[in-house]
Amino acid sequence: MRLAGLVIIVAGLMTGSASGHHGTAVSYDSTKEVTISGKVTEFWWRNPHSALFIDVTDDKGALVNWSVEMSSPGVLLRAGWTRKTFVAGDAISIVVHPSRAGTPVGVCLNPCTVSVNGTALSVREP
Amino acid sequence: MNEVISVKHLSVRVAVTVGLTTMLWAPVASAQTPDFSGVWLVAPGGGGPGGKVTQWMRQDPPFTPDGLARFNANKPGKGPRQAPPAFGNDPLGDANPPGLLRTLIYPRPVQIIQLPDRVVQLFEYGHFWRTIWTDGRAVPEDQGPYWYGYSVGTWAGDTLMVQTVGLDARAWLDEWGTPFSDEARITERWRKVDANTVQMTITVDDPRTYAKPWTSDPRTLRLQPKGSPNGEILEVIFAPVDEKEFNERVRNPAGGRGN
Repeated sequence: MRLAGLVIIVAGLMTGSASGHHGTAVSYDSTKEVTISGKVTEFWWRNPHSALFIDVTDDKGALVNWSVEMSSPGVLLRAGWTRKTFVAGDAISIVVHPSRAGTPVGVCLNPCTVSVNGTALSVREP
Repeated sequence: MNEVISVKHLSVRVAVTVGLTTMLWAPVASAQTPDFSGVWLVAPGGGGPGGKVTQWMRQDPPFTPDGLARFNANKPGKGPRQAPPAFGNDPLGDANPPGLLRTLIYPRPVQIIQLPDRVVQLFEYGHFWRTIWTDGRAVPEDQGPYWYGYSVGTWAGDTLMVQTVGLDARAWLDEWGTPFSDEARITERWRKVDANTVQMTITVDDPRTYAKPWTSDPRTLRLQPKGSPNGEILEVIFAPVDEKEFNERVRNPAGGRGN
């Protein structure tokens, strides 16, 4: 899948990102980083993991809704985020490890590199 | 009137006598008993790397045939045997409780409240708690199954020794799908190394699952200062309604599995 808002910026980079509560990390390719850009449609501030949903426009002009898995609210709160950090409609750019299955799903755990409406809001677990 | 006074005096005497007797007989914490009060978190690197079988130790414990069969049946999303959770059978994937041992090994804060007759542990992970009875009672033989077991503790110098029985064997011993049975007897040793440091180990005695008892590598926990990021525990609840939606919209598509 080629997406206008999606750029593979690094391949072969091993980051050793934090694993999730239930081991979801194995579903993602930790050797690849992809930057996706678009509009936030939802932000889940909940367990087991927070999640962002982002509308990304592909090269044919169609919208693809990406899911981005994040850390739990407790971890993110300690890192400085709140449930109001992202709201629907925000313009967002976020670096994720993409799903190995090739589906529009990624993970952004620790550190999570993201900018919202042009402002960097990256977090690292304390 | 004298009779009333006598009765009152008698009542006071009885009350004092009962109180003193209780103080003398109850194995309350002595002045030398270490104080574990506070919020604790496993130190960075304080858990050890684990081995091929369990996060609890480098050396691999010897399975019985029955234990090995249950080990192979568990499909974890973490560790040397990890597979995408969309195709695994981790009990947490349906928002079941992690259970005592998996909670103890997960790196999230635990608050310890120490009372004369019990130690209470409040776990952030899963928002669960357990009581360790230190009032001299015997370890029961007929309790459970409980996800967090039934625990009795005794003081030995700088160490709180905890024996736990009655554990629900549907839980896992760790994040890696390591099994135990309902015959398991777990002995924890919590040693107060200094004011800010605790070391703990578990000994697993489970003849149905392991050919011989084994003791974990030590885990080091540090006291979390009040006001620090981990200085107070938060609510971490795995609600089935959230877990289901997460599975449908994130975990399953991430693994390439339809709902």
